[in-house]
Amino acid sequence: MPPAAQLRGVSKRFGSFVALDAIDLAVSPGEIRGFLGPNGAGKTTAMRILVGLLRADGGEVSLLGGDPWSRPQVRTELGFLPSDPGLYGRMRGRDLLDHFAALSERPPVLREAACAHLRMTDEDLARPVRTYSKGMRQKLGVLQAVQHDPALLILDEPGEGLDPLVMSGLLALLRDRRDAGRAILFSSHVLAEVEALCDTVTMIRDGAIVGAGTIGEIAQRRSRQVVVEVADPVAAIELPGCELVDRAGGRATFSHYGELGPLLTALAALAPRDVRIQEASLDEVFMEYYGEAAP
Amino acid sequence: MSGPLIRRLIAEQRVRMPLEFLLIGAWGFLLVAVFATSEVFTAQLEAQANEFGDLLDLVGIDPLAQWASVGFEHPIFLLGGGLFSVGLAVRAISGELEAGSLALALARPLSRGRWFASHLAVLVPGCLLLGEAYALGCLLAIGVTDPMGEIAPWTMLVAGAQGGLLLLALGGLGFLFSAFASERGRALAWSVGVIVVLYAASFLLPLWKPIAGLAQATPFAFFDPAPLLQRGEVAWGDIAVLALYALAPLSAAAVRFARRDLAGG
Repeated sequence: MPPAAQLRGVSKRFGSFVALDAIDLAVSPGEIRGFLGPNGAGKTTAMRILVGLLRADGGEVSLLGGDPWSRPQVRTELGFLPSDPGLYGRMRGRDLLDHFAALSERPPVLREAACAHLRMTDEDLARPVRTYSKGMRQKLGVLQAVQHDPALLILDEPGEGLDPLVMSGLLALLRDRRDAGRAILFSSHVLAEVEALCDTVTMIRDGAIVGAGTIGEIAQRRSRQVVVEVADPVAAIELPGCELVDRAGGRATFSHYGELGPLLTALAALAPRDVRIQEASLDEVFMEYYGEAAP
Repeated sequence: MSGPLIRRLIAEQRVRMPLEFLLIGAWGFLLVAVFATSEVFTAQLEAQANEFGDLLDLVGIDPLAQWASVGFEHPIFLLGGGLFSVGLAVRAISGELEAGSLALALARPLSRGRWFASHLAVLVPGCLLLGEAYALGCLLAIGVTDPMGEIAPWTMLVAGAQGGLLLLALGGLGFLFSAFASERGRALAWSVGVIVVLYAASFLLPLWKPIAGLAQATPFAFFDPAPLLQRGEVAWGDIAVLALYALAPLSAAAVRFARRDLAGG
């Protein structure tokens, strides 16, 4: 099945600043792809190129089978939430949703269900948007993107300002859409959200993709923490694929990369008192990719 | 054009537009009413009528028509109309971009050309309506106060349309700066600055002979309703130039908007 949205070798410069450097990114129907990166990494630029708000300097852009820059009609099946959506404050919530549904040229078939997931009541929608709190505005922003049940959702930090209850409703809504075959590209700074929701992740840094795959694959490519406790505190411990991080008495902490098999064999031969092996969490992976020590 | 977008733009104007219409209409009414009720004017006119009546008739100078035409070129008319035309123009692109609402609208099957055309569909009749507001205000005052002198209603209405064309030209400048800027304030500052300079130039440049011809570079030089109101002469050449003044920046703005990156908001 062809991707619902795809960037191939896409570059973008703003003056001398390289915002994107030949990046590849794709999201397919039935997939939720997390898009991770620190502030200024290029996430928003990539998303705006996909939507057709920015023109790529090089590479190929495809949105629902067409070029979003030259063929606006392909955006009929798109739902987009920018990072800071501007909502007309004088309009009532319902009027605003009606307006955007009319611009989408699609009926808001999913509005009721989405309102239920996001705990948005009829009374809320009857109020002028200017009276909304930040969280309410964000909910309205999500609603305008999903209400017409588009084939592709591009959401730039949709969880911003949402309380945990509404956030869990949003995650459930997005899972529903994924299960219904919709493609979702989702950026967030809250890694727990990405870990809980996304099937695949693309990581970007300084305008270049530094990692992509399933969350499990990405974590596997990064280090595990191995803590070994042995009876003899002076004996040297050497383990395959491991780098010593810390040693105190008979207890040593290592970073391990690669296959587990040889490590387990070596550990068994060592007859340790205790062993703990921890997978890197997405949080740790993120820090490894983007922390000061990152390559 | 996009129906839903035009409906939203009209809804946004539902309070502002009638107020501007009333302001400009009141300005026209007030001007003629002052002319009709001022003892100084009346005394002067009676004296002129006695001494030069035949001569004034011969050259076609009607003090009321002259007075009414001054109101068209007065900053109050330009301010009232400019609030609408320049205000709509700077909000259309830079304002919506800055607010973040442009990204939401253009992430839909709505081309930039349709976005632009929809704004024009509101701007053009709005400018004409405000031009006619002044004409209607004057005509109402003429009917109510019965001043000395005459203005044919059709000349007033044509002059109103011409005034609307001038407002459209000012709106065109607003669109041009809006298409280049990413902040509404910047677009507004440039628009107002350039319009004020052009307005001042249309008055000041003719005072210095070597550069007097440059005054013809401003749109204000092509808006003089006096001959129309006094003698019923429609200045088709001026109307064509004013239309060009409106078309040129609007076309440039449309091209720029279609090609630019929308990175803000």
